[in-house]
Amino acid sequence: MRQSKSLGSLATWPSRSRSNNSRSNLADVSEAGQAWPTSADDYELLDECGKGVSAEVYRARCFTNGRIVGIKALNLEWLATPLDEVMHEAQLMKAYKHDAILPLYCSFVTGQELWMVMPYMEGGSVAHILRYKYPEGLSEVVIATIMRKVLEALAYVHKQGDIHRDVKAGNVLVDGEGNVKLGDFGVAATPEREADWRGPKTRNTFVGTPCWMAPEVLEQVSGYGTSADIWSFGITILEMAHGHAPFSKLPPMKVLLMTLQGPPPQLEASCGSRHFSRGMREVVARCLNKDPKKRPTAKELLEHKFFKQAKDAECLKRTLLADLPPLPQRCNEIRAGKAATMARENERASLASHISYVTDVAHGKTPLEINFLSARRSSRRRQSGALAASFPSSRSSSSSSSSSSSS
Amino acid sequence: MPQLFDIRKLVKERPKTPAEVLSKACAALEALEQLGRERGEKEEATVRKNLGYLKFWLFGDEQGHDPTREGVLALAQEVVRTDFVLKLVGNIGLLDFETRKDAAQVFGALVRIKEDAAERSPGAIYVERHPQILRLLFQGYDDPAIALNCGSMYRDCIRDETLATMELYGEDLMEFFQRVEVANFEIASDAFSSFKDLLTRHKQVVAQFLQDNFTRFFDAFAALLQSNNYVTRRQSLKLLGELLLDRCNVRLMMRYVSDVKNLMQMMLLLKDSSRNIQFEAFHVFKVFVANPNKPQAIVDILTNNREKLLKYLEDFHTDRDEDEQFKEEKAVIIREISLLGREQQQQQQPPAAGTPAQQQQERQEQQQPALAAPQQQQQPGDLAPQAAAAAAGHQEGPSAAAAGSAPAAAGSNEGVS
Repeated sequence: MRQSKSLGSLATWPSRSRSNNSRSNLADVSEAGQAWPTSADDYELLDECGKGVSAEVYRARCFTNGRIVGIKALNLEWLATPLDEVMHEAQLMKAYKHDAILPLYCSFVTGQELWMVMPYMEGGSVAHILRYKYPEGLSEVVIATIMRKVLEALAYVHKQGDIHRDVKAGNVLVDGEGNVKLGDFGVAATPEREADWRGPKTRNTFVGTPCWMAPEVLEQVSGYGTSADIWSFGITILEMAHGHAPFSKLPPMKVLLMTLQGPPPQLEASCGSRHFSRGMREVVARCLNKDPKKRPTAKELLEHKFFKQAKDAECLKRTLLADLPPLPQRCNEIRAGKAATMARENERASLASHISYVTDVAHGKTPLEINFLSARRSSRRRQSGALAASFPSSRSSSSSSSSSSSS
Repeated sequence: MPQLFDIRKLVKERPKTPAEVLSKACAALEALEQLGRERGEKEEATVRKNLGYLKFWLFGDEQGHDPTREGVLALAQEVVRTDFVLKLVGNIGLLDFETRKDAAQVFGALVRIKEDAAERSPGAIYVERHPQILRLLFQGYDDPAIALNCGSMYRDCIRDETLATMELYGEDLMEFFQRVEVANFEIASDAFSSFKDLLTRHKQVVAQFLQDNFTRFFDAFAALLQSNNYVTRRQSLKLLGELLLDRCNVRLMMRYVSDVKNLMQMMLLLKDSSRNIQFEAFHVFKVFVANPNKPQAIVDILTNNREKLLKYLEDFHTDRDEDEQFKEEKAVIIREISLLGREQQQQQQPPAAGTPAQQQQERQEQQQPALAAPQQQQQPGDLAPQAAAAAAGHQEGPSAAAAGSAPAAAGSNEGVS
């Protein structure tokens, strides 16, 4: 690998002179012929702008083409999810090409980290902007503008039979020009096309973030489909209208009970000095129908009059992004507690609920997690259980030798 | 971005027959091949449109059109009477981004649809008769633009046992060892998925293949385990564990764990800087130790490193001890290793009959500081009975193991030779 790694930088080196037209399997060549080097040496990390439990996001510069990029560095060693899921995410992002979906330029392993090279989204996530500057929420036009792009992305994803499964403001990103992109396909589902040539119609895995999860996902009884994303979409509208998701300050188990047993959350006609139209309230109500079959599809929603008021990227640049300091600075301010007062509480609350969620999952306390955990456990058990059974014992040796001779 | 093909429009204007669609698609693919991507825009659109018809017939649509198995099967049989599949695979690089995905989806359905589990798919039979298709798909990994489409089509093919067998014994398999190591993660990991599918999907075929090609295969595999790439190391080690511990591969496992080279590699991985890799390595290492019929060379290595190993294993991933299975296995392995030297000494100097238990106890105190020390610290006054109990336990161990292993040894020796 040392060899191929140095080859990687060599192979992309000549592309500085723009004369490199050959198809190299070591560098990723996008449709436009843009080559992205696949070695950490070819990138300069400039600022940190986002930090999670096992991932960090950097603003970086690519030496070979001079462009500013965002690099998500996943520490694979500390990641709780199996490697297969990380592979799946990278491959999935490569299967999408849509202007409202965050593209993956390339990805490569360096040390124990996976670096995913993507466009630098200077505005950060909408959740981050809410926290920093709009703790009370955004205006209707801004919400319609953002969510229309999200809807386009969802329509595209759903058309392929895929489910995003983690739609929330934290995964809606804005670049410096006001372009909106849906990101983080870490838990998205694709039709793996199992026994049937058509693939499964529904899924059962318990994934997502509790506050945004549809009742049928939480319930784990009848399975769910793309309409689960539509519920999350409705919750995200509420999140943008109020500055936080409904129940976001409650512990996960409580969120679960409220979502399953209570009536669906609704949008009030006014929130502080802001007024929300009937159309907007109707969109929320239709998305948050507890019966998944009664929810509209992404494509149908695009026809709704609420989204007709959507403006362009320029408008978001002038409104949402106006006077926002650079993302790394905002990150530091939020961390240091200098941002809007509400914001700090928001973050603490959501962080707390996230952490308790993670620990519940890690210890297998949440009964709903059984699907996922037991699947992983049983696979390990199968492997380790084989120790006892793996050696031909006196009793089974005759049968095992006969079976191997027949093969 | 090209507009996606609207299936609803299709339904309205759908007077065509499969034969018509296929001949149009084939003609367009041929023309596209001649014209190239730049000048073949119209032809590309024709291919896309006709792939849309095929998709509709194969998968139905959201408006509730649901194809029947019989209908799809009939369609597949019609498709393989033409050269559509070959032309599609050969020219997939000339199609647009979205069309390529449609092509992969249609291809996948064609090589998978079959009457029942016992039958073979008409598409798979077609691929068998045109083996260049497999080669083309595999070579698709060279071109980042089509690598992932080709990878998924390749995996669809090797669901068929005959096609998988062809690939196992063909030239592509050994090339995988380079493919899974390319720097581009999406492509390397897709290649790894294909590699893994090939080695795990049809167990009997794989078992035979690995027996036939043991040295060649595992020499190449050893390089993956030593890769500088963290993901390659971790994934290949996990795959190795799955292969060795599969019931179909008992002979393979016996042969693998009889080779000193493999043991040394596993001991290095046991001390890898990554805890995840250490843990995977443990699940292979344990097989070397638990093997009741260890060759002398293996015993020697384990004995020579006994104290270091015992010390290391004592503290090995103690945070995982809530995993009962792991905890238990670790204890078994520790006991087995600690017994090794003693067995050897017993062989060297026949025990003075009388008080073997006492002798063992003494030896244990001398030779196993790693094990004895903590006990001493805990209950210094109570050492003697404890050690005696431990020795008794140990005595039980080898006799039980010997009882089980003696007959097994004969069987496994055959397998190894």
